Amino acid sequence: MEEDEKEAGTLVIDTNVLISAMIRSEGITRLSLLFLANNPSNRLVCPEIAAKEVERHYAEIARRAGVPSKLVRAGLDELLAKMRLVDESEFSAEMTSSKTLVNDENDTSFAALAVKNRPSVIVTYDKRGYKEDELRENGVLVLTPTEALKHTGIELSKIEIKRKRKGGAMAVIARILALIGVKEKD
Amino acid sequence: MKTETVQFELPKEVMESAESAGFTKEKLAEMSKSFTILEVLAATSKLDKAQARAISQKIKASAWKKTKRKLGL
Repeated sequence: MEEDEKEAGTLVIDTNVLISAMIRSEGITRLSLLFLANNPSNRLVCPEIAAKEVERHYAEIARRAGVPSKLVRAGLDELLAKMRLVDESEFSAEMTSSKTLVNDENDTSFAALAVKNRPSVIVTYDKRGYKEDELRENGVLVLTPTEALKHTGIELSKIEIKRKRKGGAMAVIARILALIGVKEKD
Repeated sequence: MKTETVQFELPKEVMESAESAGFTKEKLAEMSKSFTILEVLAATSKLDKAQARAISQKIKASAWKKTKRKLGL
């Protein structure tokens, strides 16, 4: 791992990661986000307009997911509460130049926010929108949630899912303890 | 939103291990709460990867349109 990678404490969260946390099979995304958010050396940020748009689409997300809107709100609010929502005016100076760092114009705000806070990491599920090499040259890494978790020092080998032999609240605690590396006694 | 309080007990030795790893009771409780909410949401969600991608694209396109208008880009 390169030195600049070790120092990257600002994580720019792409909205696709927030939405993907609602996919049933994406348990690792949810765990990764929680551990990234609860590591005091990390700072999670998101463009404010993008976060507001997520909130504006709660009803549509709920309809497509087939769950009550209040539950979607509770879940996504839980994630958004762990991030600093940054007003676009704070990184407007980086916006124009950052257009050259993305393949998808809609990802410009995320790239600009990352450049403003470099060294930093863009945490995304769709790397295709970003020009990884150019961003790396600007002190920004583009990583998936799992890669970001590893990047911040948590080894995936410590993630031991014990759900099969435990139930209810203890299963939740067991997974969390396994993630932070606490060994349980059998 | 109405809320309910769910209480559960953790073995003392587990709490001691967690605290020795730098996690306070409050932090552990906070993470457990977040994790539980997200797991319940996901367990009942029918969202698949294609749908998640489509919603995300729509959200980002709308956000970028507003950003351009706000900043005069």
